[in-house]
Amino acid sequence: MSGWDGMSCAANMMLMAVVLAISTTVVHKPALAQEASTGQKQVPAPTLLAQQAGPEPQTQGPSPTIQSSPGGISLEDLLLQKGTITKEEWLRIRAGEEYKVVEQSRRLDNLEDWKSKTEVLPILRDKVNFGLNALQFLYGHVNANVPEGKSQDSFSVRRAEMVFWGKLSDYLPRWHMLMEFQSTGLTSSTPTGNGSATVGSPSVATFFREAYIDVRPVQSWAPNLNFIRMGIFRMPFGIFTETSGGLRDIISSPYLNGVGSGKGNPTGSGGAIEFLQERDYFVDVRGKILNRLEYVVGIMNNNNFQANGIVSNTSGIGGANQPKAVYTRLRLFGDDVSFISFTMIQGTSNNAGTFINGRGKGHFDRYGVDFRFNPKFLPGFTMYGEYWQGHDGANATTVGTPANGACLDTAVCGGSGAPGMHRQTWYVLAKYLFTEGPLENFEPVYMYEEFDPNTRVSNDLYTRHIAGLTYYFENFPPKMQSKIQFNYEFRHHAGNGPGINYDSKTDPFANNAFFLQWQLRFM
Amino acid sequence: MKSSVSLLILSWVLVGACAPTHKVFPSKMTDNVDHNFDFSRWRMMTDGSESKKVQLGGRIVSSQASGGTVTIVVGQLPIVNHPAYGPKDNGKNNGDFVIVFQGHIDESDLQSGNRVMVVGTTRPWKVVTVNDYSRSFPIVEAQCLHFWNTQGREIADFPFYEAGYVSLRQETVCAKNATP
Repeated sequence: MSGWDGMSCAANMMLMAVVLAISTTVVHKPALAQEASTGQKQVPAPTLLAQQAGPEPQTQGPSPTIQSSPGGISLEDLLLQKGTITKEEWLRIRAGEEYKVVEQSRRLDNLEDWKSKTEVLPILRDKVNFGLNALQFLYGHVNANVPEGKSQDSFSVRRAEMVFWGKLSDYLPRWHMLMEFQSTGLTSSTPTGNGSATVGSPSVATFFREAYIDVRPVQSWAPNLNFIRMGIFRMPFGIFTETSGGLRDIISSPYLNGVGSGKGNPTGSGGAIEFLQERDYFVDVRGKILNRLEYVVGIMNNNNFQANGIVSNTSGIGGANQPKAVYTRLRLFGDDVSFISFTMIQGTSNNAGTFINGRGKGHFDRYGVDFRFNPKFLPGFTMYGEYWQGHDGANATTVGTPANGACLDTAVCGGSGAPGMHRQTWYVLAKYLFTEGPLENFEPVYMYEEFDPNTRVSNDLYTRHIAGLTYYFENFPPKMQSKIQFNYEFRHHAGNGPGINYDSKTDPFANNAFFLQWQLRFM
Repeated sequence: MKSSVSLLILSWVLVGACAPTHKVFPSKMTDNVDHNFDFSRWRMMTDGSESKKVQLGGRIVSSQASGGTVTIVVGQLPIVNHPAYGPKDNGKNNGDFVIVFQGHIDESDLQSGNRVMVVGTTRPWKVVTVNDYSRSFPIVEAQCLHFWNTQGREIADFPFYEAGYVSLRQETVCAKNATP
């Protein structure tokens, strides 16, 4: 062993001895002290001193626990026993610790209190929810000549819709309301009278668009008899009518929803025509059988969403003429998202007090077939379409123009003087969403449609090609969909029937147009 | 005419009511599934001494795909027949488990809140890291999975979803080496 080694060894031994002595003092002494405190009465127990020092703190929570060392004695007790701190200092330390425990307990109590309050909030129990159904800003350009004071180009808010919904119980699985907050136009109902009568005055402006209640009477019957829905909502007529404005693939509505402008004429081809109303007041039953066949059967007012039922709470007289119609739809699914449907509507319509363009007085029917094809082997591709035909009663009119009865003498019955007519329309739409590569989130879309206002006369056909491109900023339908859409529409309108003067330059349905629309949606 | 239509509808309802509940997995995959499996008891058995073939359902909490393996943290939910077949939220925290699947699953199927059902084998608890968060879970090694793209909503809410009609997209995936 060299000298340095011998010195180093001695130093190490001395160091170890010092460490051992210190550790013996620090570690073993408290144990001895603890034994002494429990075994010898002449040494006062520190905890007893603490109790003598003051009253026990008043708390409503769990009893405070004083932190102590694993050996069962706290640091301040040890210091007091060793005489390092005075009794007053020991009391101050203990008081401070007890205050901390009380404060912690108080905070926990507050949190528990808030938790119990917030747990019962309706918004946290699915009883009340709200979302942005669609907020759309639109720029449009239409090539048609326009009168003084109007423009071919325009900015507008197409939709500003808030939706509210909730579930009250398994038997009341859904309530729903939708408000349209954009500037809504006044709507004139159709007054009774003849051609010399004044036009109807504006009677309705509504931002209340949808409200329904679902009732599921027997849980074990669902989904075969899923629920009964009552209220006002999108009608189960085909695909477009039932698709939310925040989830549509093109900007303009198809012609089956509304086409034409001006007043009607005796050919039945002129004027504005709303072949299928988007919304109505109804009650129906819905369900699905064998996970393949979905059905809807119901009855509706057949007078659009403006015609709220009861105006007078005392007499019970309705606010608008409400002829009834029954409807049914059967939808057969090939897989979870591809289907074919058959829809039938039967009932009556009236030209007086109507809120729907192109409706006459008498029997009313619609028959429709629609399909949707979204193959699993090509998930980005979707194709769908609808075919509809149906009859409107005689003397169809446009909203606000006086009409009263089915006679074809406009001097007596007003209206258009057109006999009942058979109308027909169809469209087909295809789109492809790129999910990867440089075109990711882009979706080209193409649609073609025809609308024949009266199948028995010529020169009245509407046709339209729409070529579009959509870019999705967020695309998690149905919950979120933020996108920008560009559509170019190639429009053609043959005329208003044989022998009727027609100026295509001023007809917006005979001139091309393009639109650019931004949309936000979050629910 | 009206009576025949009514009779037809009534027949459909009766046939539907009497028909067995539809299945989402190939029938051979659900052979030997323990239908009396006690999820709560399994969660308490951290040693995982018993390995059983089970069918479980739940709500996706989070997920991560890496190296051909998809890890899905699922909040367990009971599987019901009514009002719609599948996992239904009973408003309780029944506990989480993890599904491990060898293969590819589309991102849209893995969205948080989607409902999922799995057929697979139970495995011992294991520390799982999903989205940089590590925690110990009981594991189910999946043979087949079925997804309902509900985004947090109930299956029964579809297709008459909020302000319109939305078909509920579903998907079934099975591991390539899945054996009954």
